[in-house]
Amino acid sequence: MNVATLKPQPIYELHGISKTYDQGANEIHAVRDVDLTIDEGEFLVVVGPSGSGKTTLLQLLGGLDRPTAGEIRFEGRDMARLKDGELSDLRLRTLGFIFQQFNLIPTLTAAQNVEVALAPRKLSAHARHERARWLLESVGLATRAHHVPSKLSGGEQQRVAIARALANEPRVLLADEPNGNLDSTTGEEIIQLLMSLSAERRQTIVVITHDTAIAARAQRQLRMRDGELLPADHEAVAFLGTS
Amino acid sequence: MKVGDTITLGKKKFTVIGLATTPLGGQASDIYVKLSQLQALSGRAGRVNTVYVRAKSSQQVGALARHITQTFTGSSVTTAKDLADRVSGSLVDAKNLTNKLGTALEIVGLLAAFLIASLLTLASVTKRIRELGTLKALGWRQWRVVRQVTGESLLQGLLGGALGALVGIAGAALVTAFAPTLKATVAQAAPLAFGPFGQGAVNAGSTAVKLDAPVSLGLIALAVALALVGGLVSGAVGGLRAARLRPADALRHID
Repeated sequence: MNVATLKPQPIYELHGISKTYDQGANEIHAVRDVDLTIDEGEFLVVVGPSGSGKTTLLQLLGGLDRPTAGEIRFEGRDMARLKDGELSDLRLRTLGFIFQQFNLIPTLTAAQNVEVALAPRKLSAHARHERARWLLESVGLATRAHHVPSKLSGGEQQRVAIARALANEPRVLLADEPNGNLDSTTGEEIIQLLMSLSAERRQTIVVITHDTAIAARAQRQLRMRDGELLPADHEAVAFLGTS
Repeated sequence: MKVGDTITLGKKKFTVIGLATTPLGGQASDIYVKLSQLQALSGRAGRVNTVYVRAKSSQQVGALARHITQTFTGSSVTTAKDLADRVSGSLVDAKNLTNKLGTALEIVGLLAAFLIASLLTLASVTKRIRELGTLKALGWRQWRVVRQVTGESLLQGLLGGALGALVGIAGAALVTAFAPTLKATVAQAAPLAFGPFGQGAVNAGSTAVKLDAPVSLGLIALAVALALVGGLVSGAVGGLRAARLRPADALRHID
């Protein structure tokens, strides 16, 4: 029942991954016994209904949470053995996150929000400003650099979030419903932007979405239901668009 | 009753030759008559119960009082100073009371500064848990998140403390400018018509207790320092609590 595609250069290898939350007397099995391999440079889409465990899986891939059982190897390293500080460094230098709610800091300008991702790096203030300016330019927001998020449209805010995610040139981009809060046209633009930017950089991208159009463009689609990955030959139509 | 009227005391008629005003706060008799006549009327010839004595100078009052006490066994001597002390003593008590009240208010104010700074900082950090979770997701280490929150709290404490001190100084200035003055007056106690004797010879005048709000630089510094410490400690505690959360838990946090 598990999907495991063997490729020569896997970046992620997941073996028997489970994540259980205690909620009072109940245990919630958000992810159940997932085996998965993701290759370097792959564009992978995970689809499935709400509550199917997609976001939890993405958080486990990003080291934002630790699995209850199983092993996640990133570039051959067991993530469970990494200390909190090492996980932070991994997120800083290697992983980029994009959230459905954008998660920008409301009191900072677009440029400052991008610089937040650069703050832990040993860069001069000038280098940080320049890099943030260049990143915002690359997502088409050069003229909106000094606006706070509340003065930006949803699409513009997500562009800022993409610029922030790309700030440290991560090898992996993890996007949790990046178009979930946007209208279809803007959402399409955002996905297009993500795809073109990552293609230039040869990044590995994992996107969670309900959007069938995006799923159709992916190199590989994974479907989740009740915390489990469904077999590759499972009928996709049953799960797409059922949010 | 007017001058020229007659009144009868002990079957003896007297003609009113003058009217006296009762002094404020002083003791006055209903009727003043010649001592010899009063002694005859009351059957106490040659006896008095109160004698007013005036010293030639204020320096002699103490010695004179002792001398009288020794001369007239069993007599009770009350000097003008005793009377004045009784009045001003109660005013000193009032002043002490206002000072104690001020000190109590200062302590309450300082505690309030500390508690408000702490609670506001904790509440602010709790509201920002998702934001702090985002910073961790972006690769910020725990200590950097704590440092950021603590630094912000320190700055807010400094600005809030400075603003509070300014408001406090302005408030104190207003209190001093508009607060009422407690005034105690000891009036001329006996009518001048009776010459040098009577309570008129006792201290006349007034003492004022001004209700003011003194501004103490030490107190202001202490209040600002407490606000800073409150912000700093709660910033560090709140920041650490938020930063220790797994990013996934922090991101799930609902404001």
